[in-house]
Amino acid sequence: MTKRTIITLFLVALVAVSSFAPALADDDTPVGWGSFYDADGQLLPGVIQGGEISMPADWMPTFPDWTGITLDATYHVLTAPDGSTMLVPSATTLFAMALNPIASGLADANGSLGSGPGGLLMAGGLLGSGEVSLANLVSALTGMSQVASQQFADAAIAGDGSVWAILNPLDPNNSNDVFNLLKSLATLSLTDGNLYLAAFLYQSCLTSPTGCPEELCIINPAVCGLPTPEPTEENPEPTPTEPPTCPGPTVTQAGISMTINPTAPNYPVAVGQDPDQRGVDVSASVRIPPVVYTWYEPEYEEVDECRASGTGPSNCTRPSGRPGWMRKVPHLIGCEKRQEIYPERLSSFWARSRITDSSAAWIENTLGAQWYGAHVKQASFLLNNFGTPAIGCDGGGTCYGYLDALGVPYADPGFHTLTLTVGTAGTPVTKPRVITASGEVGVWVILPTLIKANP
Amino acid sequence: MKVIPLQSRHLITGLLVFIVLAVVGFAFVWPALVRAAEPTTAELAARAGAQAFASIDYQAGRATWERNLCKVSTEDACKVFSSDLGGMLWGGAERNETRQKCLATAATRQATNGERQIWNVALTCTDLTTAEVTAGDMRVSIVEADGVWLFERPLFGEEAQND
Repeated sequence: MTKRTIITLFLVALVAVSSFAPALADDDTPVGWGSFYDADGQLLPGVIQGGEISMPADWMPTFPDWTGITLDATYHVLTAPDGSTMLVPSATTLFAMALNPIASGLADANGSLGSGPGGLLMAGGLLGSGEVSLANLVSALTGMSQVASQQFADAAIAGDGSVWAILNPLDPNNSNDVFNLLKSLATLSLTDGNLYLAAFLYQSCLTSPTGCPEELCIINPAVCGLPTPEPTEENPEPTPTEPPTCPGPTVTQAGISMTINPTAPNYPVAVGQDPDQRGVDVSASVRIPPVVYTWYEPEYEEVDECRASGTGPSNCTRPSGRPGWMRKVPHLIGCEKRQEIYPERLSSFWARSRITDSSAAWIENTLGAQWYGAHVKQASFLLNNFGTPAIGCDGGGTCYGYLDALGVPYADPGFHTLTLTVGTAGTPVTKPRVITASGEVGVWVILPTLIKANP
Repeated sequence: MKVIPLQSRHLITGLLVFIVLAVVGFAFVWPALVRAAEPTTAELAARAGAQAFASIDYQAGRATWERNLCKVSTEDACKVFSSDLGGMLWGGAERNETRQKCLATAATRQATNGERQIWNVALTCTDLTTAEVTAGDMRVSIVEADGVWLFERPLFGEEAQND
């Protein structure tokens, strides 16, 4: 709160506590300073200080029309909880009203301070000096002598423009020329504030030129002329529904292709029984499609909606029938699909062969019974030793690994489990992982069989 | 026919007279003529004040307007424009979104009262938004203090009856 505002309120309060009995409004309801101040001059709880507002007034002195420059009337505004509004004109505004007292509503044709422009004029500080007249007000406001202020009042009430002759800046003997008065008013308004001698009281903020303050309308819609919510929920607010939103992000990946199988020969035999010692060809491969990260960017547009909160007086009615405020609200009008492709790179590639347990048992038990000393010579070994893995990713983000292990010398007959184990480095949206695939290769054995001759 | 013999001393005397006249004219007469044609400091004060008062740009703000006005005004006038009256004027400027720059094209003195003079200033104002040009007169008062003329205020339209 500015020093000036504090001074203003203090002086208004002083005027209030030392003033006269409340005036009567149109319906004979007592109204007055008491709606705004208590007996100690303190601002009553709930009184809203609207600060200083300005508004055009056709009774203000004018500048040439072509300049477009106009003077507003300025007031300090207070609004009581019951909606009654007090407009306290600034010093210069009050002086301008005195220059044109009839049109501004400051005084009646007899020079008495009367009902204001639609409101009730209260002139507290002037009562002690006797008659509440325009001349008294001018004298108190400008410091003019009683004689001069009476001449001023008479000329102003006559309304023929002669009041300006009293303010003639070219009269060498005139101490009340326009500029001297403006200077005096400026000095007082900046330092003293002993200018707030009159206030206009409006029984309702609806009839006040400044309207109703937003805070009051929220607290008490009725005094602002707004529908009052019923105590019972006849028109309950509709259950809030979740506003439309865009789908959440997704992570997708096509299926992985991964194999490990013998490719030649069709019937491999243990390398010890193969005169060519060819061995077995094993091929292992893996193809990992890229990880696709999909998300949606919401697109909004501003639309006008009647909402439950806002600034200023209510200006619309919500579907529930309650007062509301038109506001620009973002509405979802679409979702733009975005995608990012991440290759899932291979970090390891291992191919291994291991004889099955049943085959190992067959060698050591069945075959060993017939051929003394038969045993498993090489139960498990890395196929990487028989070829060089090739790993990488193509331009589409698919990552691959290949191994052609050629001429693998299987020493043990039986079935061997082929296992391909690859590790990946993961992606920004997926974790590293290990994937396995398996196959099988059968190694034949040539056993001599005694067959009874059949002569 | 009478013959006047032209002697060399006559020629020299004539040349010297011509030089003296030329020097005197250049040194005194010409500056006096120029000074007579130049605006007086009073006129300059009236022009500058009218320009500063009518040049209102609500986007630049009231403080800018006050600063420009106070540069060419008396201390008391600056106080008046910075107080209640300035606020009353600026309210309309903001509501009307006034943006104009004004230039004084002529000024004539209308009245004098001791240290105060009333001038009529012809202004041409350009709308800074639409480039529309308007022109008209504004009457202003200026005052002299310590030999310096400064702007005091524009006169209200209602004061015309005092002319």
